[in-house]
Parts: sequence; C-alpha cells; structure tokens
Amino acid sequence: MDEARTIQLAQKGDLAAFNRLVLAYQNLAYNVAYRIMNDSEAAADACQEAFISAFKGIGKLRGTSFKSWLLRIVTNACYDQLRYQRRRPSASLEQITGEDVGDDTDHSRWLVDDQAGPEELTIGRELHALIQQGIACLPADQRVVVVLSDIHGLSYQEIAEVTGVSLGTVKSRLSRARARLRDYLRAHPELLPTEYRLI
Amino acid sequence: MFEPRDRSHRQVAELLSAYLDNMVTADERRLVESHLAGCQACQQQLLALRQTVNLLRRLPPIALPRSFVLREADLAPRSPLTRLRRPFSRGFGRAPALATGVALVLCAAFLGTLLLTTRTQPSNLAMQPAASPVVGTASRPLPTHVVAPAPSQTPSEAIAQVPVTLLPTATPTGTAAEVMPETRREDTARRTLTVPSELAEKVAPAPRADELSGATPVPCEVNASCQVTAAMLSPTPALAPSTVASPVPGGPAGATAPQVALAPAAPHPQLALPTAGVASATPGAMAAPLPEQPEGESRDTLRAAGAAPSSVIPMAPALNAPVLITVTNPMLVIGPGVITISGWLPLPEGILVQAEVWRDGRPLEWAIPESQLTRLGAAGSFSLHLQARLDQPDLDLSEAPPGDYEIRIRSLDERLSAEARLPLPVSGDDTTP
Repeated sequence: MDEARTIQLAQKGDLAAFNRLVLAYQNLAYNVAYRIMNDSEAAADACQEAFISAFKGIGKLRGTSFKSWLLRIVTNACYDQLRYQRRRPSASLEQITGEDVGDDTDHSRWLVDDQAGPEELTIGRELHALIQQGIACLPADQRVVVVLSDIHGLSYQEIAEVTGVSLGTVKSRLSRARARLRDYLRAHPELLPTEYRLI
Repeated sequence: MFEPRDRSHRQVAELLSAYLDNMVTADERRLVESHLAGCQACQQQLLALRQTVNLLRRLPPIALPRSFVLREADLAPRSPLTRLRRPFSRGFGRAPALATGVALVLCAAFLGTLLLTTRTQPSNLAMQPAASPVVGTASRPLPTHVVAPAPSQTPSEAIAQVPVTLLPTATPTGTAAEVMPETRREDTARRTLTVPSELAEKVAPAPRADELSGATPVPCEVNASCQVTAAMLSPTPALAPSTVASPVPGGPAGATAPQVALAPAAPHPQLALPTAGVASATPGAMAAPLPEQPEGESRDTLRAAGAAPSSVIPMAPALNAPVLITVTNPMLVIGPGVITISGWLPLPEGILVQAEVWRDGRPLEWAIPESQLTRLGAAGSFSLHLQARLDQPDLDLSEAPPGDYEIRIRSLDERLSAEARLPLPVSGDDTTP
C-alpha cells in the first residue's frame, strides 16, 4: 500500500482508501486502546470512534505521520471513554480504578501462548493478566506512555507527537510508569518467571 | 523497596529509565554510570527496570474482536451519548436496510412460488420437464437435470441450489430462456412490491425437491408459509442470482414455464468486490459444474447478486455432504495479515460459522484462529475477520504465491452442514473491485 497516496485519496473522501488505512492500523489502534482501557468492549468502542473521527478529520492531516496522528485520536478516544466511565461508575469501578479486578478479566484468553505446556500456560496467563492489571493501575497519562513505548515500541519523539507533550515529560512519565510497574510486579514474585525473580 | 537516600541517588533513579533507552545526554550518562559503579542498590534498580520493560515487550498482541472498517452508516451523525457508548455489535446500524431487504425477499419468494405452482402442474411436476426452471442468465436453453437429465449427467448431479430472490415477471412464458434486460428486472422489482401480500396465502406448497428428482432434498424456505424448492435442483452450481425458465429440449411445445428473475442488485456502497458468493460444487457431492457455461457469464450473473438474503435453510438432520450455499452481498477486504468478509448466508440466526482460506484445494495454515468463529446475526448476517496467526502478523496475502484461492465459510452446527465458497483475488490492488 502506498500510504501517502492512500492518505491523499482518503482526504478526498474516498472511504475505500481510508479503509485500507484502517486495515493497516486497526491492530495497532485496538491493541493500544485495549492496553489503555483494559476492557475489550470499551477498547473496541474507542477504536471505532477514533477511526470515524479520523476519517472525518483526515483532511486536516498535515506534516505529521498518519500513525502518530491516528494514535493521538485513539488515545483521546480512550480518555473520552475513561471520563465517561468515571461519570458512570456503575459501568465498572474496578476497571476505572484498576483495583482488584480479580480473576475475572477476560483478556487472559488472548494472551495464551499456544506453544506453551500446561504449566507454562497457566503461569503465562496469570503473569500477563498481572502485567495488564499493573498497567491498568497506572494514571492514565503514564499508562498511555508506557503502552506506546514498551508494548508498541514507539520512540520518545513519536510518543511526544501522540500525546502532545514535550520529550522531557515523556521521559518523566515513562520513568514513573516503569517504576510503578516494577513495584507492582515485585508484590507478586510468585507469578514471575524464574529469570525475572531478581526484580 | 529501594529508598533513595541522597540527591544523587534520587537523580540517578529518575534517569535510569531514559538510560535504558539510551535517551540521556552525555553528561547524564556519565553521572549514571559513575553512580552505578559504586551503588549496588541502583544496579539492582536498573536490572529490575530492564526486566519490567522486557516483560512488557513480551506481551503478545491481542486479536481484534472485529474489523473496524468503516461503512457509510458508521459516518452518520449520532448523539453524544451514542458516540461514547455505541453498541458493540455493528449489526444494529444496518437493521433498517436489512429489514427492507428481507421484506423484498419475502415478497419475491412468495410470488416466485406462486408462479412455480400455478403455471405448472403441481400435482405431478416430475412429469412436466418443461416446467423445470434453470438457474442462470444464459441466452440459450440450458439443460435441466431436475426431471429430464441430459445424457451426460445423472440425477445425483442435481444441485442443491439455494435460490436467490426469485421475482416473477409479466412476460408470457413458454419460450426459450432469455436474459431479462436490466431495466425489465427493475420494473419487475417495482411491480413486485405492489402485489398484495394476501396472495401469499394462495400459494400452494411447492413440490419437494426429493419428489422432483430424488436428489438429496435441501429444504429451503423464506418463512414457514412459503417454500421455494424448484430452483434448488438447478444444474448450475455456480449461478445463484438470476433464474430464468428454460424449456427442456424436446419438451412439449409451448409448455408453460415460470420465468423468474433476480431482483436488481443492490450493490454494497463500499468495497464490494466482484467476487460474489459462489455455491460451488463439492467434489462428489450434490453439485456439478455447469456444462457449457462460460466463466464470464457466471461472473456477470453473480455480480447481480446482493440485494438481500433470500432464504434460510432451516435446521435439518445432518446431511452427508455440505449443502452449498451462496453468500449474499459479500464484501471482501484484503489487508496485510487480515481478510475481512461480511455478507449474509441463507442459514438461521445463531448458527456458528467458520471461515478459512484455501489455496488449490487445501486450507492455508493461517486460517483464522478458532477464537474468531462467529455466530450468524439477523437474517444470516455475518462479519468474519480471517486474521493471520499471531506468529505471522505480517503475512500479506496480496503478495502470496499464485494459486486458486478461495474463502470457505462453513457452518459448524452438527444439525446443518453447509458451506459457501468465494473466489479470492490475491494479486493486484488489494481492494479494487
């Protein structure tokens, strides 16, 4: 796919062209949204809203990468969803605060390593659920930064573009997020693989 | 837990994260490294941070719950509340259009059955070869295998063809099959909408498929009061949409035959590929290739498909071979690592279906994970996302080796074995029709 050409077509209102961009980025967008929201349905909603907003606003895209621009829309959609959930705590207080979700999180089924044996499988699921829960415990701004950096590999500069903050802020948020996650994981050493128990 | 005891300690602790990413200045690097050389606690902190980051990077990608490809309906203005918490299922957004399509199909099926039963001898249709409809738009007579099989074919080759939107015409019947002009089809569709619904009550039950030929019966009905069965036994497996009457060569001159035609196509507003659903033959099963049917003709006919789901195969005891069915109004989008296909299947709501990509008669390894099965929605609607396995996220089908690719969608309900096949273009522009 010639992304630049596809973007040009999408900017002229070509929905099919835009959908090619959707196909190229929907995995990234949904994964980012899921890690931020810690809820598959809310993440899907945020993702869908983001793509709709992106289509409506792609005419304004100038001088920045589509990926960063889209992820900014995705993260903003996630913030919208989180704010909505805060206003309606009955939705899922645990998911908003990231506290005590327990074993009912549904994401672990996606995190199964098909190649793992039964014991590894169990450990993997629990560990991944633990990590995801640790991410959910972070403040939203730190959560976004650590998701973009350490799960999706964005550079500091890209994260700064996505979040609209300075490089220094990215650094400090990421530093705090990692430190919190480290401490969170330390509290559950029994779930960590042997090679990680030095934490 | 580590507690920084002095300013240098705290400063270094704050730099460790950026130090891991090589995002510190030269001065900061010197500060960190000189401090680490003499501070075991900070070394431990750095190791723990590195392990934390490694764990995060080990998180596997999460499979999409659905595709986020936009449709025109998604772009309609919505209230702020809806914008924030829209229903997870996208099917609701298409409900009005779906209802209209279903209504059209019901009308069409009623009238099609009416013609089939009033213009033939319903009491003994098997003895009326000229009354056997043949699916297709060929401008020449097509052989019928329903009651008078051609010498080269046997009754077992009769097709379990799911009819698609049968509409009667006002054209006098009894002539050789002809292609109905597009404008005529549209007129017919409009007229059909004006037919009083009470006519449906006068429709006599159509003869069962097994009464006609002894072929495997595939009951097909639009609703409980209307069965459309004659077209099921068409010998044209690759053709679904247009159904025209064709007298059997040698049949009684002037014999009446119903002439039915497909409702005008209602192409999907976006991304509809010309790969309309094909109910192709299962080797050794009920379907058989249509002799002398040009490829292009089939595709043209198929392209006309897509108005709405036409009929629903009711739950029935498991068949030996899958019933070959047609995807109505298929929409296919191919992207790196993912194929999105949606449409309607003539199967009951709630049936579990699975899709696979096949090449040259064999399933590809990256068939969708089992977790992405889907249940049919209202009127058999579905949307499936054939996603490469997690270990092959970059698989690009548009660069796949040449071959005969197709998507096979099959029901996983033990009470109903059905399968639809769609040819899959794998080269060239990924979504260009």
